[in-house]
Amino acid sequence: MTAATILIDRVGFAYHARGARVLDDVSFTIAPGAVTALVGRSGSGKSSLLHLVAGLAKPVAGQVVIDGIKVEGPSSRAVMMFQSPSLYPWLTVARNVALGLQFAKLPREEITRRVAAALALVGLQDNAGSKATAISGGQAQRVALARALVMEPDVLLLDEPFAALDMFTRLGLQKDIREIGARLGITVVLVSHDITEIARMADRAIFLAGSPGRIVAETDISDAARGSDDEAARDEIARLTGIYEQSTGTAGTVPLQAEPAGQPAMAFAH
Amino acid sequence: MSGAANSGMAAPQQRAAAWRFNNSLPIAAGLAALMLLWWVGGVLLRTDPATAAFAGFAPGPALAKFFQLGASGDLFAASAVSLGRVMSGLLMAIVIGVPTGIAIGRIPVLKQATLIPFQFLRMISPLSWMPIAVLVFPGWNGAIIFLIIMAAVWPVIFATANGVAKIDPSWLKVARNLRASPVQRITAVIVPAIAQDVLTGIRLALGVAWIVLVPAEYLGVSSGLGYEINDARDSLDYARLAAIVLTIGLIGFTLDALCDLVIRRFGWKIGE
Repeated sequence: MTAATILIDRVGFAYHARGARVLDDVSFTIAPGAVTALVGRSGSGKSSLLHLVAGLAKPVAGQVVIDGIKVEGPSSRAVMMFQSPSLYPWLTVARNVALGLQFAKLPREEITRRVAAALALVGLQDNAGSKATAISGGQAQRVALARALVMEPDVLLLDEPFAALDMFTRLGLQKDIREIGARLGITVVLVSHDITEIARMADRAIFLAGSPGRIVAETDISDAARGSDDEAARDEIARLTGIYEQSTGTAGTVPLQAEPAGQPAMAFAH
Repeated sequence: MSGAANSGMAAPQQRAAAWRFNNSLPIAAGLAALMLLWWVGGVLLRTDPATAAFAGFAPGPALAKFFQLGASGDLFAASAVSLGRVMSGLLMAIVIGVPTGIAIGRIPVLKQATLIPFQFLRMISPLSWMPIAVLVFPGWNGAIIFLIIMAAVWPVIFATANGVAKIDPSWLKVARNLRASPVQRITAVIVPAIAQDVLTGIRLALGVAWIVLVPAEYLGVSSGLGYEINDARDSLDYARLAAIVLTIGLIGFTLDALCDLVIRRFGWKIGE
């Protein structure tokens, strides 16, 4: 795993060849090793952009380039984690994690070693033999994370992976993903509606709006958002909220959410 | 260990034993009722002079003949021939039905195109293909297997297509994301995802195939359980006829139970 630079170069995207564009003329660069959040209302093309980087969709214009190599299809360099863990219920936890390595036809010993390491990384080493249907929602999302990490990707793409989790599980997983990403030196791209989540996880936020979606604002996120100073964190979240509301013309639509002490939160209206 | 601890250990075992007893009771009662009905029927046949010739249908002579035919090996020989035909037909139905069902489930245009023709063909009694089968196939064996295929293929096709339609699209998206080849997507995702439905379809197909087999074997062939029934009727050996009917029921029940076991072993359910 090495941190990768992602170049989004004048990208346009439509679901169908003759259909309306979801994204138009989107260009930006994601620095290696950074956590970058794609922010915007539903339909602004955030998830589509993530699918393009993963190679699960093809742009109708422009190109996506990872470390100088144009993305032409799915690759083990950029692996995605979806909103739903989408585990295979007929497999155990370990076999779910191993699947990508089995597809790559790696030797059995290497698969065993890498699966054990990935499960240990997400704290599920004791659940390797459990049925995928016998674990909690938070654990299932951790398995999905292990399934992505076991591929040793350079880029980890997170498509609202915390949306279906309860607050405390979400907080724990957010913290773990940021730490694991930093430790392994992975470039992380996150799509989220939750401004607190973005502040807590990302180093940079890119705001998309309009139809077709275009970049309307970009900003670096201060470490203060993740620090122990509640007031500084609130200020950073308020600043991000202001940018969002100004750039998308949605003033007053960002409701305050209840969060545990020391975790100020706001989320965008969907 | 204290008495309290002993009683604590014993309580779940006692509850399990009570549960087993409570569940076995209705099963035993149902079987007893069936035997009673059979016995009463036998008594009625025997006591009425008009039907006394059919007294061989009663449990006593039927069971005696059953064990006699079993000991002589005749029953096993006839059963093996019939099972061979059913398994050949079922295997062909699976080979045709599963890929067809996957294609129908995956390709909407194919589903639309086949909907009316397949529903039309499904509603035709398999036995009504008999004259065509006799014309097309050089031997009776091939014709019987064809009839079994015509009976068994529809449950397999429809159950498979239904299973494919229920596949969570995100499973396929994850597989693509993990760089599964099209073949790997079929073997590692689609096949296990539809296993439960396919096995259920095979179970239904086996039941239908077994039911169709006996009348199919009435014609032409000189072996198998259907032939044995016909032969027993023609020779007025009603005890033998009843013993073969009993055998058909026992084999059918056993095959269905085996299918149920396989489904429990290899099937999966959300929330298990």
